[in-house]
Amino acid sequence: MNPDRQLVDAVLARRAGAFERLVAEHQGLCWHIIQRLVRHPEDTRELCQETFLRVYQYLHQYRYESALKSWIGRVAYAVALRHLEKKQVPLLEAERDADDDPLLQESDGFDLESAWADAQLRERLQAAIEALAPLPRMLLTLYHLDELSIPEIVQISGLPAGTIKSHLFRSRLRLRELLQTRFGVSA
Amino acid sequence: MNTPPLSPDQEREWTLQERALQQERGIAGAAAPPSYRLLARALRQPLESAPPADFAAVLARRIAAVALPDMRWERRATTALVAMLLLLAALGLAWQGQDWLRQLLGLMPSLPRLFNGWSVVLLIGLAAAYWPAPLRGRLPDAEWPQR
Repeated sequence: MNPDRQLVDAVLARRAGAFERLVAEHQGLCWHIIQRLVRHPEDTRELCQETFLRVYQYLHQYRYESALKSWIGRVAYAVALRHLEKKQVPLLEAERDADDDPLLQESDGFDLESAWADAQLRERLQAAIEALAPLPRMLLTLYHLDELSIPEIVQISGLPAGTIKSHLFRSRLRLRELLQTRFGVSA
Repeated sequence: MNTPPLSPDQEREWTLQERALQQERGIAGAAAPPSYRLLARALRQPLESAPPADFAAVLARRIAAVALPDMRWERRATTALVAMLLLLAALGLAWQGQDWLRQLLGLMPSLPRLFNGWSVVLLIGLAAAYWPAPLRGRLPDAEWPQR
């Protein structure tokens, strides 16, 4: 039997510990989506709670058309998006025309391991990632950290696959450009 | 929010980005630019904040405290009862409803008189009270961001 179905049936039948298991299994993804969009830790916790309360309330409407994690991710995304709309935080900043970005050339003489060992560089790189607009920041986290595929991110965000790919591409290109121009990494 | 597809040059750059991602996931393949690998490694780092250790347990306790009793059986029984009553009514009507039907049809010409001002107010009140009910049951689709 599909593990999603087993878990959903157990929650709907109110078996002891079932809802706690559902939360424990999916809280990481929920947290990443909300944290990357809203950033504020206290807001993240509250919105994550709201997400799971909604999941509990509407779980009987889940029709197994997508994986349970995508369905929960979709609820988390909608909850965070509504929060940002209330606070009038834009999802995207005005981006430069990507055609102006020179595609970067490879060069020799860059030692990956020694660069990674440089704590200051790592810190600045994390700060640059944090400074991205909410939407690309979330997409990068879902794609890299949660290892979701683009179709899975489509199910969560409702964005077209091409748009997601474009955001991922431009954000990574921009971060690499920052590495090269501001942080002095020559690769 | 559709965006134009990547140009051939951008597609090549995308391939380099993807190679770096694969290499950082330990999947063997063609070499990727070290800077993209550095970036992919940074993006794989866990976030600084995480849910509290007892997040799931606390939430489950909170839900258990406020959860309504399981009414699924009662809802099914109510549906079955209503269906049975409708069926019996239909059978009764078919069996000995000729007179009622004739009387009902006789009333038809006087129906418009029922729709005076008060009836309209009553209908508006009923609509206002019950209109949101079907909408409430449509989450999370109803909450889908409209952009």
